Amino acid sequence: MFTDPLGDCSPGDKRIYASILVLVASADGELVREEFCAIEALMGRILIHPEARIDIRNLMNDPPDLEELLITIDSSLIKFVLRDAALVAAVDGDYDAAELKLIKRLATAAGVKDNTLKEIFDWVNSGLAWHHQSLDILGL
Amino acid sequence: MLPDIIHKLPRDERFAYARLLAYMTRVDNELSVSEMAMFEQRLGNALLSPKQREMLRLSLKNPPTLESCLEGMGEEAGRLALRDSVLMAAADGIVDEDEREILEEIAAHFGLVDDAVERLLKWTIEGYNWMDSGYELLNGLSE
Repeated sequence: MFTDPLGDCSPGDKRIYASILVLVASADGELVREEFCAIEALMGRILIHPEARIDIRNLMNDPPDLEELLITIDSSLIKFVLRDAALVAAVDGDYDAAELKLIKRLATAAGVKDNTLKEIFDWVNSGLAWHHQSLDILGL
Repeated sequence: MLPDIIHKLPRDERFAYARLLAYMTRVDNELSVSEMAMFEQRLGNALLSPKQREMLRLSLKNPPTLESCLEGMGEEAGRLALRDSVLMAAADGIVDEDEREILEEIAAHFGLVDDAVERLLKWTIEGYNWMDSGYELLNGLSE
């Protein structure tokens, strides 16, 4: 939603970050409009160059290999990827088994234990509730 | 990045919504990286075409007038644009008087209750707190 330190990453790291999110969004075999919006918003938020976004969108049809991405990713980025993967996976209403499997793999790579992962899911839920309040304020 | 309803609106309404955000970025005559990131995020969330986004980016250099943004704009797009204008105005940490005045004008145009902007500002602060709690969670992972 808001800006964060990911915006200062190198173009290469931004690409890896977005590629993993594409992988999570397309994990259940279908990319719904809400997931597409989330990916586009996250790419915009970290100011990925418009031309680079084209390549990343193409990954939706030809998803990358997670293990290869995890080898190349800057270790300090993994926790951000994990956080935003949990967000992207939640936007269509629930966590699919394939999405959860990828998120757990990311958690392992980040050294995050199950109880902390639950805290991340709780944080996502509180964000969803917060965002929904705006529609009440607006009368929508 | 959180599920929204803006993408459900017709494309011309989404474009009008984003045009109002483009106007909003320049109210204080400064365009910070934070505001730009917020603007780009909202363009992405609205699922505008790359060509429409390019037009909107160009409009940042020569922003439209508020009147032209509001003219013919639908109520739903307008209310969502008000909400996201509040988010964008707050992105650099300060909502100055000019920005506040414009936000009130937009709220009045779309018939919102008197304290709507105040409530949206409070909601925005809660959102920043939520985001901060996410950072705290992530920072705890590094210890």
